Amino acid sequence: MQIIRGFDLFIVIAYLALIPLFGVFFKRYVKTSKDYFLAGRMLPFWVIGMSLIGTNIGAYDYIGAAGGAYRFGLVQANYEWIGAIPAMVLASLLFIPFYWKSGVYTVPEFLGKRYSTAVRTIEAILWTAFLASVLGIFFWASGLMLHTYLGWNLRFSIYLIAVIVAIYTVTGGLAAVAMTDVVQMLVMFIGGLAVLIIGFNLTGGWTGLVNMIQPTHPQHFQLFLPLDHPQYPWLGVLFGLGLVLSPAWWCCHQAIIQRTLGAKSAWDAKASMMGAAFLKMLVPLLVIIPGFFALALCKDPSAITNPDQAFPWVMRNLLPVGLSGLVFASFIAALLSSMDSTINSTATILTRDIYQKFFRKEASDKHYLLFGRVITIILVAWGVIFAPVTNKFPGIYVAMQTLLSYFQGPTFATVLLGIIWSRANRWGGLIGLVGGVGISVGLSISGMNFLYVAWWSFVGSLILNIVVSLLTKPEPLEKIRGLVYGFVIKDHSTQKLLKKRAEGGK
Amino acid sequence: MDLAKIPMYWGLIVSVIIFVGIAIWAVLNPREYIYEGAENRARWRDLRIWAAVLMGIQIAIHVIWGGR
Repeated sequence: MQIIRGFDLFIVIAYLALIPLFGVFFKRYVKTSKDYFLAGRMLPFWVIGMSLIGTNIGAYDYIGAAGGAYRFGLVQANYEWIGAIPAMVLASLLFIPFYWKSGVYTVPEFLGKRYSTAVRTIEAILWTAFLASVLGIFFWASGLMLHTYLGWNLRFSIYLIAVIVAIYTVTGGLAAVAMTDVVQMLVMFIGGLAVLIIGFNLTGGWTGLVNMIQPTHPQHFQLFLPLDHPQYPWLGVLFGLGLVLSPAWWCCHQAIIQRTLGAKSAWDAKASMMGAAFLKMLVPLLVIIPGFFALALCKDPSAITNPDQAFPWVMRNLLPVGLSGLVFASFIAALLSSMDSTINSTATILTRDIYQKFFRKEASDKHYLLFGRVITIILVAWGVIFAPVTNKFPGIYVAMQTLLSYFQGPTFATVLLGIIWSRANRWGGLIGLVGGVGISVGLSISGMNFLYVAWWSFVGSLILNIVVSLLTKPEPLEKIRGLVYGFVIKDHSTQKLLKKRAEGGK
Repeated sequence: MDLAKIPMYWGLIVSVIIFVGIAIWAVLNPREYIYEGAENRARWRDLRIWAAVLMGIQIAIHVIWGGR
C-alpha cells in the first residue's frame, strides 16, 4: 500500500538526499578522536539542546504516544512533563557540569574515575548490549516505514537508510550527528505544527476538542489516574517515572550525555539541557494532541482497531498533499536522529571503555579515530544484519526494554551517590550496582508494575551503596576532588578557581 | 497502610512539592557555579532563572490538569 505519492514523494526523496551532505560538510573539521566523538568540544548550547530533543523523540513516540493518548489520554504526557523536565533541570545543574569538567567521553568512564574499573566495565557492557540490540530494531522500523508508506522494497529500504546514516555518522562524527539532529528537529516541529493547525481548525480549537472527547472519555484530560490503573497508577508515575526512570534517562543515558560533553564551555553544557527542557515541554503538542484528533474526528470504529493506528489515520485523513510528505519526513527525521545518536554513542563506549581500556592503551590518537570510524561502520552493518532477526523474534525488543528497566534504577543510584556523597566508594558502587540489578530482576519476575520495579531497585541500590561504603574504606580525597557536588559548591579554593574562570570568559 | 486508599489529589500535592523543591535548590546554587564558562554575565544567561521559569510552567500545567 503506497500512501505517499506525487509531490509528497518528492519532498521525502529530497530530504533523504540532503541529509548525508551534512556528514560530507563536517568531515573537514574531524582531525582527532576528540573531534570525532565530542565534536572537538566546540558545540554551542542551542545546537546541543535541539539535538537532544531530536535524539529523544523517536518515530515510535509519534506512533506510540499518539496511540497512548488515544487510549489513555493526557496521562501519556507525563513522559514529556513530570517524566522529563525536573530530571533535565537536575541533569543541567548537578550531573552535566561534573561529566564535562572531568573530561570524560562516556558515563561509564566517569564511573571509572569516581568508583573503579569494575563499575565502569559493567556499565559499558550493559550499555553496549542494550544500544547494539536496539540498532537492529531501528533499522527494521525505518525499512518498514519506507516499505509501508512509499511502497519500496523492504530490503532496499533498510540498505538505503544504512547508507544514508553511515555516510554522515562515519565521516562527520558527533558534529554531523548534532547538526543533522537540529535540521531533523526543525522538520519534526514544522510537521507537527502543520498537524496542529489543521486539527484544531477541524475540531474548533482546544475547547472544541475537549467538548468532543470528554463526554465519552471523562478521564482523558487528567494527568493522574487512580492507583488501580493497570498501566499508569499515579504513585508509580510520580516515583517510578518522575524520580527514577526519567532522571536515569536524562542524567545517565550515554546518547544523551555525549552531546553535552561536546559543549564549548561548562555553561553551554548546562544551558543545552535547560534549553532542551523548554522544547521538551512542547513535545506533547506533536505526539499527544494528534491522538486526541483521531479520537475526536474518526467516526468509523473499524478505521482504528489498534491505538497505534491513530497517528497514521491523522496523516491519511487530515493532511493535504505536500503536508503528508513533510510529516512523513518528520517521521524519518525522528528515526534517523535516534539511530545516528545510538551508533555514535555505542562506538564511543566501545572505543573508550573497551578497546582503549583493555586492548590498546597507548596507541596514537589517529589510531583511535580510525578505530572509531571502523567500529561505526561495523555497527551499521550489525544493525542491517540484525534487523530481520528482530522481526522474527519480537521478544528481543521486549527483552531489551526489560534489560534497560533492570539497570536504569541502579545506574541512577550509583551515579547520583557518586556525585552528591563523597563517602560513596568503589565497593559501595559495585555492590549497589550489581545488587540493584538483582533486585530489579527479582521484582520483575514477581510480576510487579515496571514503574514500581524502577523505584524499588533504585532504593535498594542506594541503600546497598550507602551501607557497603560505610563499612569499607573511604576513597582518597585527591581521587574524588572535582567529582563531587559538595566539594565544588563549598570548597573555597575550588570556588575561587571557578570565579576566576567565569570572569575570564572561558 | 493501604496505599490504594491515598486520594488522587495527593499526586498534585507531591508533584508541586517536587517542582518547588527543585526550583528552590536551583536558585540556591552559587552565582559562580551557574556562570562558570559563560562568555559574559548577562542576566539571560542566569540558569537559575531558566530553572525557576521551567518549574513555574510545570506547576501551572499540573494545577490545571493534575487536580481533577
